[in-house]
Amino acid sequence: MTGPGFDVDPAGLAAVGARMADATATFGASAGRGGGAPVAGTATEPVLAYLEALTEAAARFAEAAQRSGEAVGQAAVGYRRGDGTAASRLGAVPVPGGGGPAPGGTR
Amino acid sequence: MPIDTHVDADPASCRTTAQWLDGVARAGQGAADEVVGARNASFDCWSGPAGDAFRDHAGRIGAAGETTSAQARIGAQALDDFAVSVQGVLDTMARARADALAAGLPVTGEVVGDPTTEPQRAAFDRATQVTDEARARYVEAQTELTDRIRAPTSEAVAVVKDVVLGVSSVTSTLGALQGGVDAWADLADRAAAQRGAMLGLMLAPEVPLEQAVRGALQAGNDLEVARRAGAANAEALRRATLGASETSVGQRLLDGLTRYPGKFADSGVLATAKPVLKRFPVASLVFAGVGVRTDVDAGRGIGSALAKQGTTLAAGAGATWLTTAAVTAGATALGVGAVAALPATLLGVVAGGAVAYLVGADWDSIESTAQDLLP
Repeated sequence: MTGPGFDVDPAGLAAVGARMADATATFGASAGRGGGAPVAGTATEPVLAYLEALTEAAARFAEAAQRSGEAVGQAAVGYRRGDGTAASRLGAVPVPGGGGPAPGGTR
Repeated sequence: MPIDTHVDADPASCRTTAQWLDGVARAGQGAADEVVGARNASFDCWSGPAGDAFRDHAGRIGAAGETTSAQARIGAQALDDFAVSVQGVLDTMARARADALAAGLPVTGEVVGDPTTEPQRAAFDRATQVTDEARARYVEAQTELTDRIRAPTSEAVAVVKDVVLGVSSVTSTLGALQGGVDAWADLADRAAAQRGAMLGLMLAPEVPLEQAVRGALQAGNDLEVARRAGAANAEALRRATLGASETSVGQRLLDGLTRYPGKFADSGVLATAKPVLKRFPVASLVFAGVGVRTDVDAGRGIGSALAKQGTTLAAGAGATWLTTAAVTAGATALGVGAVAALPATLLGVVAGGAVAYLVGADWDSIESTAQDLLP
């Protein structure tokens, strides 16, 4: 699908979207289990705060990758649908000389 | 007073968390690599504004994943090291209790009781010393763990980078102006010597007078250009430093800014490499070192950080040299060499700074493109 300003291969794009969305599947499962409750004296509280911040950062990363992948997948569908819609609309337009009764019908 | 040997830390729980963090670091790096891979694959199937926006977006998501992975790795290592230290402290405390018990001191749970006889007092003093030292190591380990997991956030690293960029821009400009003054002074010295030689040749019978006169005039012209150009750079330097460039302290600092590896070498490889080495003053190398450190703190691998700062340094120096040479050559061709000296220096600084900044800002794309090109 090529146009002035963009060039898209919807199938390739769908693969990119799927790859992006799947990227964090293992990561999300790994980070989501939690890091337990380390006991480290006066450092316990800072360590727990660090684990919480890290878990949040991991979740934000996973969500961003997941949602971006979905958005790319939807874009691929949109590009493909747009192409199909344009083709069907063109197909619905009668072409002069392409068969059917001529204007005036005296043949 | 009884000795409390209790240590409120559990190495096993710290090791468990460290293992979890290690898994997060590995999975995070893998996920970040996948995101960057998806981004790079999009080049082949998606061009246009939306594709560019996606690649920018995915690049930032990938960088965030790498940062999270690096932070998890830092935490895993810190907790592992802490667990080792705490285990050592626990072992020391256990030995102290066993020794105390053997010496007849009362030991209840983790507390060594006060001595009641003179021989017990000596054992108690030894136990006090050993447990105090272990306690000190434990406090140190807790402080170190806290410091390590509070590694600079990406925001803090960005602030440091901005400060370094601002300071290095000022020092590069001052260093370039000082370098210009020095270079024109060298040129003036050479032109003066050339003119003297040509004037001497006018009296030599075997040299045609016209040739000697022409050489002397050219050398005189070069001398005048070099003096005016050097004066223009010196005046700009004086204004930029509010007159400090003319003080002995200011001059020493400016000399320091233009110092480069091998500056004082008279022979050997360093002397031969001077024309290249002088493009990499020590000040720039120090800033590059700071850049490597902040990049590593932000989660970049050491190899990538070194490659980034090395390329940035080389690209900036190359752009400065090319711009200065091109402007100077153009001005010389137009016969306005002295007038263009200062603009050439400043344009060179701006071009070098801009190229270095662009290389640094777009390094992830440059690196991934280079990796794609490599077999």
